Amino acid sequence: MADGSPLAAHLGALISKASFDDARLTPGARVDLLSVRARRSAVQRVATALGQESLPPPNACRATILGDCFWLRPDEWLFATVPGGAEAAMKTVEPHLLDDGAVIDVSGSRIILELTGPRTRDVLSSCCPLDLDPSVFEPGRCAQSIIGKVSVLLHLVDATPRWHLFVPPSYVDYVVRWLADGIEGARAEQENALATTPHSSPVRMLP
Amino acid sequence: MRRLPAGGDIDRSRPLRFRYDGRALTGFTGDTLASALLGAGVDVIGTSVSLGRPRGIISAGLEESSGFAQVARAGATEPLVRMSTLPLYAGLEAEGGSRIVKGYLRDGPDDGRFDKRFAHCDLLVVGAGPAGLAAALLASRAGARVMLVEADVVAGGALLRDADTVDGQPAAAWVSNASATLHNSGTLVLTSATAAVALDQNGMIVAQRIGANRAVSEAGGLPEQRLWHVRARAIILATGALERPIVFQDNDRPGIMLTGAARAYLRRFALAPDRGLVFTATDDGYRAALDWHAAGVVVPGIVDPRAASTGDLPARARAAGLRLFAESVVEGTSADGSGRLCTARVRGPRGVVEVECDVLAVSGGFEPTLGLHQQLRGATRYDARLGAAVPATPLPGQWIAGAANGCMTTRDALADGARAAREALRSCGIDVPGTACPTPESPALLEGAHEVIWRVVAPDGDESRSFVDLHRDTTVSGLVRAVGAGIGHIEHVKRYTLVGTGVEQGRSAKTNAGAITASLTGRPVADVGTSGSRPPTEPLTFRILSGRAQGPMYEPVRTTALHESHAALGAIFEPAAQWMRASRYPRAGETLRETVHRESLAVRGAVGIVDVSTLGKIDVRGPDATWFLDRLYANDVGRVAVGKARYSALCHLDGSLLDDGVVIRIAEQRYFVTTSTGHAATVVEWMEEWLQTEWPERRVWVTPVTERFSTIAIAGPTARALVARLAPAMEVGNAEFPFLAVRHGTVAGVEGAQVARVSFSGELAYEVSVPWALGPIIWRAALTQGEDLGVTPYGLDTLQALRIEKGYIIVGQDTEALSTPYDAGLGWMISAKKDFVGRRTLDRRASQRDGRQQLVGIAAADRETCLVEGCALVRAPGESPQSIEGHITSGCWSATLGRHVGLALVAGGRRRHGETLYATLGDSGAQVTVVDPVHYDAVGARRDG
Repeated sequence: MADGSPLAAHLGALISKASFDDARLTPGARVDLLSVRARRSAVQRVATALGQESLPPPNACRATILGDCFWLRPDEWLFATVPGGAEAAMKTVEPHLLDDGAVIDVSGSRIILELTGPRTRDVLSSCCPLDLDPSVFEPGRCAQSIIGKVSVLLHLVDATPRWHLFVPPSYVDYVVRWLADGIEGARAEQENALATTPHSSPVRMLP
Repeated sequence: MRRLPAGGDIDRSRPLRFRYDGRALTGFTGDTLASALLGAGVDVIGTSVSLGRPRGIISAGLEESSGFAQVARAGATEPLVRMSTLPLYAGLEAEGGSRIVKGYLRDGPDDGRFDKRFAHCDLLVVGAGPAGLAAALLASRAGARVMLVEADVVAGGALLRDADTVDGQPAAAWVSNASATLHNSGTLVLTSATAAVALDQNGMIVAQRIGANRAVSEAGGLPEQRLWHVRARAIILATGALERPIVFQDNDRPGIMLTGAARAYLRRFALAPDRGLVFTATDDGYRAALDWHAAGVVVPGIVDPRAASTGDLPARARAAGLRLFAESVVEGTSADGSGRLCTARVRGPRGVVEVECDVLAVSGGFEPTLGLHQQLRGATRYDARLGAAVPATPLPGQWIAGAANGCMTTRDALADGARAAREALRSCGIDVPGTACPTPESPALLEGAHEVIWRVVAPDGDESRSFVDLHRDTTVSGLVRAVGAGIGHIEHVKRYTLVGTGVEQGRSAKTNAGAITASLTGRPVADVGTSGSRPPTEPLTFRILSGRAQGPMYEPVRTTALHESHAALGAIFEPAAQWMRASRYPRAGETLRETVHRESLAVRGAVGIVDVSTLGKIDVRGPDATWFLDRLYANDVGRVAVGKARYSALCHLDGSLLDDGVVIRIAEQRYFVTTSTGHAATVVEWMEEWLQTEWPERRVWVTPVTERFSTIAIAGPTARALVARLAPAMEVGNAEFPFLAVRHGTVAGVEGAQVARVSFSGELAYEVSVPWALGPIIWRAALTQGEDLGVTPYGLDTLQALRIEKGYIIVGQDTEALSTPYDAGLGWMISAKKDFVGRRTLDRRASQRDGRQQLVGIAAADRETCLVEGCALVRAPGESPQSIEGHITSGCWSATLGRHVGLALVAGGRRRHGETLYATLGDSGAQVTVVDPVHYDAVGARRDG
């Protein structure tokens, strides 16, 4: 964990060796993480307190005053807030939960990996079973899926595409190896001009 | 066969050198291994599997049952590669010989890259012949996400060998235009890609050869092969039809091939015989004679069992002046010295004629390829006109089109492909009006009546050379023997004769096998049927199945935040659940026992530190948290005061132990629960299950926080002194910070650290938990500030030894599936005052009866005997039969006690302390004494330092 990077030195070397312009893996920003559990009665109170109409619906991420908020399951949302911001964020949310929910500081229990570039869908489809086609998985979507055998939270930040993967720290070695390997494969495909994914016709010829 | 001076889809300006069975040969870019061999004059490619008969290539595609090769790759070898679909590349090295249908593997790893790809689409089209191309074109024009997979090297299917025109263009030109259109519209077209396994819910496993079809030096980092996991909203099976051979005497000679193959070799590879005879039961077979004739090949005749056919193709043959042997069959062949075909015996109404030929093209008709449909138990029915099975009804979400659906002409196949695409797209909500997307057209062809013929009975009655399955050397005589043995069911015939058990699943043999069995048993062909098709349609190597999941990418290896700190101290690691834990920190020259000895004595005599971050940690909170934990845990955790901890256990419904751990009350409505390393996920699931199914109205929230905190245990008589240095602001005296108390404060500069007085060694111990990434700070500080106290890092081996000495169990290791808390010596914790999960079973007398397997300690009688886990314990070593009293669950060298001690489960063990038993070690067994599980410090005097 040299130079303040959350990745061990050997992983840093692995991803910088594998990455290329069209698929680049880097450590993501550091964040504090909060798990907000809320029964139905508390959801609206929390949303209102955060100036939102509602908390994000299933498999969606929304920006809030406390940072990005991800739907995790019917009564759980994950907030990624600024480093050191967990305590203040908890104080913002807690009063609105009353006895109908809980907010738990889970900072450090996942770290963010950032994957960017036009070939990243190929990288992810080497190890993640989800349909990540832009027509199906648009920016702002998030989903909990697997990389190899490990559960991660996957978030499409923008249409670059730029992905954030929230990975438990103990699994980072395994996940980084899979992604770096997928990047190597994608680079070979690019160099050999190998077609890799079906996508819908750019021009629909029929209504 | 010989190469014609011009023509074919080969690039004669780019010759390729390759080796076959050690011979240096030359082919051309665009060849397959099969066409290159034929072009190089290698007609005999090897010998058959059990009879050792010379064999040649019989097909130009998937029907191949003879031409399989062992192909060398860099540092590896690939067995059973079909020659007719392996593109020739420079430097290809292949072996056939006597191993053509056996194959072998080489010892050692295969370093080639094999990977996986998940893909999703609206429409998956399997097969890029006329129907598949028509379907894919229509769907991609409609804007659907389309995937088209083709098992052959190039798209086109039957269009590549048929002289038909499509939309006014020569078929081959239309195919390349269609492929370009598809590519430009985003359709993913995979060639050399076999749809191998059909899954429920429109899943399909497709195996694609990529690098494996190129020279290693030209593979450019691409995978050798790739396994696609495709999930489609709709699937069209346009898998085409395979040509069926006819069984007659000596029908396996090199030079005998299918008529479609004869045409493909002519049209695609410019390969022709000197004299090509045709034996066909359908009009389609005439195409071979017509094509040969047009290319200037001598065609000595067309043998047709039918009376004169009224179709267009026979009419053209007559117009070309070709000789027709009507109402005739080929009843046998003869060969030259090397085994190659030289004559065919044609029997007609006017007797037998010997016809000289070097190639005999045979066609028993075409039959739909329905392997994928049948894998999912799709129904078929017997079509008497084709003499083969056709699909009855497609499966939900699937359509069958083209020749696979019984549409055998190009014109019909194109129309059927478009029809299937419209229907499939409609099911996806995409409506395609007929006018917007015209169906490709091909001229109509008048066909004469089919005659179905499977077998020509040998004139001399010897059918031991009439081959049904060339791959397995199964003959008509073999079927006769099977039927003679009383076997009638086609699946039994298959197992008895091995017909259809080859790598190609007897694709072109099964209908003949069924029909001949039917005639031998006097039953209708439809009743006998054919043996089933099972996944995969093509053999898959284990390499492609495992893909990239090898080495560190096989099973996740979890590491703690302290991993590099351990490595820096020279730790040896061992796997524990998915974790990699430090097992010990050996000094130079130390043996395992010496290391454990030193580390143990350091903890018992001074202070040790150990990384216990892998323990499961769960945050449980909410107004009903106390009620909830009381319901799950066996003792009165609800009565634990804030700032205190309690050791407790969870039971299954049947009263058996699920896990143990420490419950810490952080606040009135908030708990921090630990689990054993291997049970972290299980316990969270257990809690969620109860909350979500039984008590959803309870306000409790369970959050796994294992990776929120790094935890380091500081244990030993001088632990207090070390903790006092690390946390100067914390009152650490026994009075202020007693056993099972929990404090929060600053440790080694880390604010908000949690310190708990719990011990897994029996020594005075503090477990310090800090945010995950800050673990190394505590570890380094403890090592530096404890140097003069003799602080010693210790690993899992010593942790085990220390807990065994104290009789502390690990649930799952020192317990069995049925062990209760009573059996494990934890009966003291069971609350008499409350109900909890498992209580009712525990209250049954049977759960507490005397003879149950109960936890005891065992001590070896001598210093040398290791107590090996899992070892049985018997009453007397020589006794017969042996009465097994129990088994050893844990064993260690106890540095403190100077001998081997252990824990064991023994029948009625609690009343047997002092008894001698024998561990089944060595010849005579090793004597052990049953003792109390607590080997050391039974009164617990060391706990407080």
